[in-house]
Amino acid sequence: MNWQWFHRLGSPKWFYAKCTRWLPWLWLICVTLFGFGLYQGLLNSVADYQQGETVRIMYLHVPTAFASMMFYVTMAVAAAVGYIWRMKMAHMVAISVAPVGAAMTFLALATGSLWGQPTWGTWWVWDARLTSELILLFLYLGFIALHQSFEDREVGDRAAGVLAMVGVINVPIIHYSVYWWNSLHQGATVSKLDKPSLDPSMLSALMYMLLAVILFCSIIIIMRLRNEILSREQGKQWIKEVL
Amino acid sequence: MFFKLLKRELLRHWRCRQDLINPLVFFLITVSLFPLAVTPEGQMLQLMGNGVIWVAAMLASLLSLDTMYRDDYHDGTLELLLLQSGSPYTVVFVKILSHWLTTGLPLVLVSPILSVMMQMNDEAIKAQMLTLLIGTPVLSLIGSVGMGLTVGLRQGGVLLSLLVLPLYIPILIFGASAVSAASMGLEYIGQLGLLGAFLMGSISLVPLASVAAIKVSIR
Amino acid sequence: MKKTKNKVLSVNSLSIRRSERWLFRNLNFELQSGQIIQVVGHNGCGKTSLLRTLCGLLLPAEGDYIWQGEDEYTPAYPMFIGHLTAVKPELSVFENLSLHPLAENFASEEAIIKAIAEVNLGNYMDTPARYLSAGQTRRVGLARLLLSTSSCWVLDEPFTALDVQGCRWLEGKIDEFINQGGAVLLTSHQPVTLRNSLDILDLDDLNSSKSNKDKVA
Repeated sequence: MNWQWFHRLGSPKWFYAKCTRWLPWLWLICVTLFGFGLYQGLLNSVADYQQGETVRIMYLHVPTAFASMMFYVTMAVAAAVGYIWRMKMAHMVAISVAPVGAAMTFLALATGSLWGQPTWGTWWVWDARLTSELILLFLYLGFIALHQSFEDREVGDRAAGVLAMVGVINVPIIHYSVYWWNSLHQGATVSKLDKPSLDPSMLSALMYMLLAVILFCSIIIIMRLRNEILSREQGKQWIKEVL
Repeated sequence: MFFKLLKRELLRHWRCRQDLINPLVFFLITVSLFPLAVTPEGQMLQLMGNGVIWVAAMLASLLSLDTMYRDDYHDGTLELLLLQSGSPYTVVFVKILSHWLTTGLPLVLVSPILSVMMQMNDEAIKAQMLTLLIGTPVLSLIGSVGMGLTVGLRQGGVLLSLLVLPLYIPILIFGASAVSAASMGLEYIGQLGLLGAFLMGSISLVPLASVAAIKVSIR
Repeated sequence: MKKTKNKVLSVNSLSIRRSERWLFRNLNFELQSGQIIQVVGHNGCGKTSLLRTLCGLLLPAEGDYIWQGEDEYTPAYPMFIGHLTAVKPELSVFENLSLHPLAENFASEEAIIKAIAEVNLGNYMDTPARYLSAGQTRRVGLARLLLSTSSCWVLDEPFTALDVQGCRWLEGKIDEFINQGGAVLLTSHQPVTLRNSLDILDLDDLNSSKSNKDKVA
């Protein structure tokens, strides 16, 4: 198998050049997707027969929740790759993903809480999804805090790598414990997606928004990654040529 | 190697007995704050007793993690132990074991007194002891990774709890639920089995992570 | 007395970086049995980092190093004494030595008693180490040198906190060790007077000239 692409991924210079070229196009696609998604979600889809218009919070809540989990795994895999193969770029990816993932987790929690108020009559319910999302936020914050507290960035990278590997083994365990705990205490009386299927118009809006949010996050991550590359590689010859 | 190292650790802890008593006192005080804060009424205490005791045991174990690596890190013993003992995993394992023997085990032994104070029935007291017996080693094991990562940092304490407490959640959930099941006269063998699985899993994986963590911290 | 000179340590184009700053790059040297190398350089030039890297406590940024044991297949355990004494204040002097592993082993009781007498702490055998002075604590750490069976000592500022007699004693020990075919890699800010000849590895030199050639003949 040809591993050329993998080695090229490890080169900050190659990566910097590529993403500088791609960024405008990614922005264009992202904005288009947001346009479609918001139009479909806010204007073109049916309101819920029980929840009414408030169901439209879902078009932000579900994508951010999905992104928060997806980026945790991305971050952990990148940090583990960086730790095991001592790959600088992988660490940079991990540390660029972390705050974005944490922000998505926070958004998911906030929208969940906003959605909870009209639906359940309270801002916070110890529902399994919300609780495991909250714990995910703690895990993100722990990762970021650990990385920040080392003066030597490379040591911080490796420490965060160890933590991410421990975390990624634990995340499923925590997730299922919380589900089990929830079913024990509350039964399945309050569940948000208790309808067997979504209306097709809702589903398409959800898909547009999901893609848009993930793409938006990826763009932010790429921009953060470019900053990270610049700040770590400062003084190198190619940086002077690029700037 | 194993027994000599263990003897060394236990001797060290025995020489500073005060450090051994502190977590226990902390455990007692924290639990006795709850009746003062909430209500001394028996029904209520019974309902929340298991959770309170579990949370207090978790915090006591967390606070005592410092004794595991910090002194050895700061006087250079840890690095020599890793270099000269032939197997860093033995060193880490001995450290974790001695931490459990000196903090986890006393917590288990003291817990019946607190359970009685929280008006729990006999079955629940038995379950409380059993779950703590299986659960506290996992707390020491997981804590060792967090401690290994933060041992070199000046402000490690708060960060340590941020790293470790989320990872303690499954133990808390299953430990406390086993006790409440027992207090209602239900079977709790399933929860015990899961706790045992956590214990086995972390015994096999944690020393690897813990050694990696210490190696990152040694500079 | 071993007369044949064999390689104990070889360092190949080693580079060390701390916090994105290169301490030095492309260091090559060899340490042979019966040889003493003193690493010198200004403060912060990477002497301690070099020794700690060679002992396996830090990861080198580039390059590698090999410790050669008795034969090709046995790894050597260099005996490392760092800035920190690794003496536990709550254990007695005797316990500090008897419960401390050296190259996967523990020293015998007689050897420990002899070593404690040798470092002039005979009266403090059962005293907890927290009652000792800085110099005495350092001596407890150095007593481990006497118990070690390693063929190489790596000493980072071993003379710190020692009195004049202590320094003379340690220099004598190093000479004795070298005559028995040992190898020593050390850093020291004070001049070391030894009967054996001393090779200097100057890290400043390496940095200023940026050359690749061996600095130690």
